[in-house]
Amino acid sequence: MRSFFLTKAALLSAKRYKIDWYGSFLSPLLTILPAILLYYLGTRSGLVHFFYGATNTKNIFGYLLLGAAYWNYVEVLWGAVFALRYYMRIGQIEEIFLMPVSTLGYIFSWSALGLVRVTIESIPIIILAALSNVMTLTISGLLLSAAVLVLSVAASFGLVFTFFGATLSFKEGDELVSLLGNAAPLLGGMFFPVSVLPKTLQYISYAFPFTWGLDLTRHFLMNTNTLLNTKRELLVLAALSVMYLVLGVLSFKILQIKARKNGLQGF
Amino acid sequence: MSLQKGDATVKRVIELRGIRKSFGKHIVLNGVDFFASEGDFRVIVGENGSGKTTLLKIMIGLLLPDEGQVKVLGIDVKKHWKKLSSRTGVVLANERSLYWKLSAWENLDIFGGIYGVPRKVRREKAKELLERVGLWEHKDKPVENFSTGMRKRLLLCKALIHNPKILFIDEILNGLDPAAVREMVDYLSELNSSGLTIVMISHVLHVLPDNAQVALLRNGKIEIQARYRDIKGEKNDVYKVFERLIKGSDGDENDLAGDQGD
Repeated sequence: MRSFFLTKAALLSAKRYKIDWYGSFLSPLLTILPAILLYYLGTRSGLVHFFYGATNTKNIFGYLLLGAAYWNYVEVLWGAVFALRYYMRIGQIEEIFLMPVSTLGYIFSWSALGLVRVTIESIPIIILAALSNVMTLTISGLLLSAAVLVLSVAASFGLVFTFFGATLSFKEGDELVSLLGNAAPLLGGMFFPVSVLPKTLQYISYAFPFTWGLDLTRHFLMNTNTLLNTKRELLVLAALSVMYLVLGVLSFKILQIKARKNGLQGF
Repeated sequence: MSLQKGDATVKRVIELRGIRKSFGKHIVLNGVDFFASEGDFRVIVGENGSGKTTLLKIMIGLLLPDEGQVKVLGIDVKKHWKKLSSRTGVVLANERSLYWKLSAWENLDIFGGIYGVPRKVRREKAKELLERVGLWEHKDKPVENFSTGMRKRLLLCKALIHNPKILFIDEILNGLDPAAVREMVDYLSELNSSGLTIVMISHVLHVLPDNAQVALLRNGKIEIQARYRDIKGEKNDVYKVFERLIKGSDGDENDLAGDQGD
């Protein structure tokens, strides 16, 4: 309950920053451009057939739009890392440490606003993604994909907190966040199935909860192939969620202990 | 632990024993003992870099000592510092503790909520505090438009919104104009008279309340503890007295060192 007030503070602060709503709505839609280009090139070059073999769908446009809609949620995660690093730099993290809020409470409060905002901003692209997959859309598929989204986002926030703790050990932490943030769409299957990646990169992508989340979301909405059978994949996602949430909490606790031992100047 | 002070039984609320703290090879605190009883007004003074803020952060749990015991309100701060936070108020020197995009009213509403104050109570308390520190007319202005003095006053309100038992303050008087310094100290004295224990770090020394107990931090230790009125004495230039005490070149030092506050 107390962490709700942290969310409220973030929400009210965001409102005062004069959000560029046109830009916020249009930016996710711009992801359509590479989708159109890929679709055009795909049909001309025979890539559609290649995709069909790996995904069981010829609807590249719907495939990409779904990836883009999902990816907006993943983007929120990287935003959370930058926000936390900013709190560290200006020293506000000390005030945050002092608050009688649990670690999970912090994780919830910093995630909630981003999730609400990205859902609102992504409405146009979600509608487009749904329309482009209307032939394979079912109510149960929609509900299952929503559940998978929630689970994979929870896991991803755990991953982000783990990653946040790790970046504090490097002076070039911001660059590291950017590097992984830029590589993640390619490794996580936003544009193409991870099964076409080289083996080594596939193993890296399997470590990301969003790889499994996106794979299952597409399966439930588009009937695409999955990396494993659906039940196993759901188990993997659930296990990753628990693991990353535990790691995230641990990472934050370690950060607190380090800060208490060395002071914030120690980072 | 309770102590007898005249007829009244006074409860000890802060106990620090043998505190040592280093950052790398730099020894900041080298065996500090510090005690405060319920209702005390303690002021920690010392040169820049003498370890005042480090000591205060150890008391509230933000820093762990390398050695020593820290008990505040009976809580072992090294282990259970989070239990302490809703019972103490803290004003850190960093003004970014506040949400700058939010108004004074919103800040108090949010901090009150975070510290578990029920909605009705925190609204009444926020109004009372803002009126008392002269910010009521500015309650709807964003903090980013506040002057330094206004932000300091709001930081104090934020620290008091949940009715803490002890107030820890780091250099709240810096950057205030003379009248604002006087008003702030008057308000702190008023709070102290009503029973609130206060521990304050300050470089502004000319208007401290007479009953304040001043602790001088030097060479990593608390070397002198004395009542402000005894330090001030008949001399008007209190800064000169403190300067000599800090440099360790005043014969008065021996007369003042008797009251170690234990």
